[in-house]
Amino acid sequence: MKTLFRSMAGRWLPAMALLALSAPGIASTINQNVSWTIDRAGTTSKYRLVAYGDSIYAGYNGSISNAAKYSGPTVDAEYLSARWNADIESVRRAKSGAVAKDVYENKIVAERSYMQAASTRVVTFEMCGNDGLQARSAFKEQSGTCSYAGMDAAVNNCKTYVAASMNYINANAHANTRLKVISNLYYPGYNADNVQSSCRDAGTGQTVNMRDRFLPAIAKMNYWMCEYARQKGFQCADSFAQYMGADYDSNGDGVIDSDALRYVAGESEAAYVNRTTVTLRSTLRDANSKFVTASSSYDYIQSDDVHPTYTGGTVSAGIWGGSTGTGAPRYTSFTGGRSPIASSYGHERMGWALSVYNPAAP
Amino acid sequence: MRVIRKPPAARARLLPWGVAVLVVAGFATAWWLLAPGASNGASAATVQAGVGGAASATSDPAAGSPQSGPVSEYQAMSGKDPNDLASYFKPGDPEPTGAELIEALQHAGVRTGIGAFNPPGTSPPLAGLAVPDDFRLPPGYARHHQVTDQGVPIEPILVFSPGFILRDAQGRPIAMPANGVVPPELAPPGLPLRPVVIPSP
Repeated sequence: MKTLFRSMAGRWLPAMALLALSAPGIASTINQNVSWTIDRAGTTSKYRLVAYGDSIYAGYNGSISNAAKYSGPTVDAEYLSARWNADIESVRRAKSGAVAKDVYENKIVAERSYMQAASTRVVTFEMCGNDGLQARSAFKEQSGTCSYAGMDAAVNNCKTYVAASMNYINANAHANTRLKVISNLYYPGYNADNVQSSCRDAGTGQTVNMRDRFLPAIAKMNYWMCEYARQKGFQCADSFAQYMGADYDSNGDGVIDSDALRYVAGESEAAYVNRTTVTLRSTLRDANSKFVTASSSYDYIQSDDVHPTYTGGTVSAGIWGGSTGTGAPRYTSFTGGRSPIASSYGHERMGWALSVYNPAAP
Repeated sequence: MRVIRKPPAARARLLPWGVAVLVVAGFATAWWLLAPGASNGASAATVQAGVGGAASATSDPAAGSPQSGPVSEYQAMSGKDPNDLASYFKPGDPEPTGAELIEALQHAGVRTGIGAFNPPGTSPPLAGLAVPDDFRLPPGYARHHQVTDQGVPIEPILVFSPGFILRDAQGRPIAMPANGVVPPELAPPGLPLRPVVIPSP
């Protein structure tokens, strides 16, 4: 009987969900807010890092009620705590599934109060990943003649709201803020996208390799994140380079792959896109096999093939609300400025990439 | 861990009650029948308080000028976001997994938000041969480190290094698996052939 009920429920659920969720204006995002303080022993000063973003900064882990405690910004908070010998409050205002416009309007603008506090020293944000994911999903479902308009719109929306976010943070973050930094995008599903489309290109009449189409789009987004950062007083943590290139020189060009892929200040969009998607194309690898040496690799991507791996447990964040907590740092000093696990997990790598821009003093 | 839940009164503004109830009932039924016993596994070191959802706001993206005055953190926390799935849940409701919610959204044709995410398990950890820390790897082989979605490390497996071409005694290339995982028949001499057990999700 129980089996029968399970079987019936298995049939009912999609039907009920379909009926219920097909209502106009259905919600599809989840706020996942966390404040986690790195409590360093013997210190009294406390400073704040504020992080705005989507599921990446949220520490999304496939759950709708909890998230990684140590997502990238909180990892950076640990570096700050050691460098400043202070407690660091990492305030993550994040919304999983949010496109750039949503992050801008509902997190950065609506929740500006967090960066207006006098204790704020670092403001960081990331966005645009969901613009890309949604454009990718839509493109994969296309048949007939391919339309690239969705990808173009995603790039343009990304540019618009990245610039707007930087302007807004510049105008609203507390004057005590010492560092403003954006993280750009890695390419989730780099291997999975290496397949042909169902639609056909209007010019050639042939199907197109989806990765060949998506890679330049994400490169354009990444270029403008770093270029606007340069123009507007932000730093740019190049997560694309950190995740997609090996930490050794795999092509014999004399440069470590992950360094060679980094945005170069002042280069043109065309130069960046050509360098990262054509010249250095052979050095790009799916981030589920991030080679830190020729004989050691790490999976930076969770089993959903989208979100970064992490360590250090989880905290409540999601449909039941967010959480605030305090804990001692896992590491109190960093030889060479790197945690021993900086290259072992996606979020640890992102946090380290943010940390290289940390100022010497608060 | 203490969590401050959002006020239920605001929920009524977002969708007709019937729809919300249907959703909750659907998940409750499915949860009861399909996945009993699951729980929120959040850790708590010295967790102190909870905060709620976000406020909704719009603004000219080209602007970037300072707001007329600071908004208190209380104001920012106490608003409601009409695009937050939390709006459909009330305290005590059964909780669907992320995979169930993604499936439900996608069944409904919703490809925005987390409806654009792949469900967990889309690209599960690779199974392969264990490669102990003290085993000296010959050129062309590598240790591949993986972790569960819960952040638990998995014992490293043996893979080929990128660009490595394995050759037979006559120097001819040997076919290698596309995913780079070394099968037992291509393992280097001296390696005990022990498969790594991948933990259940």
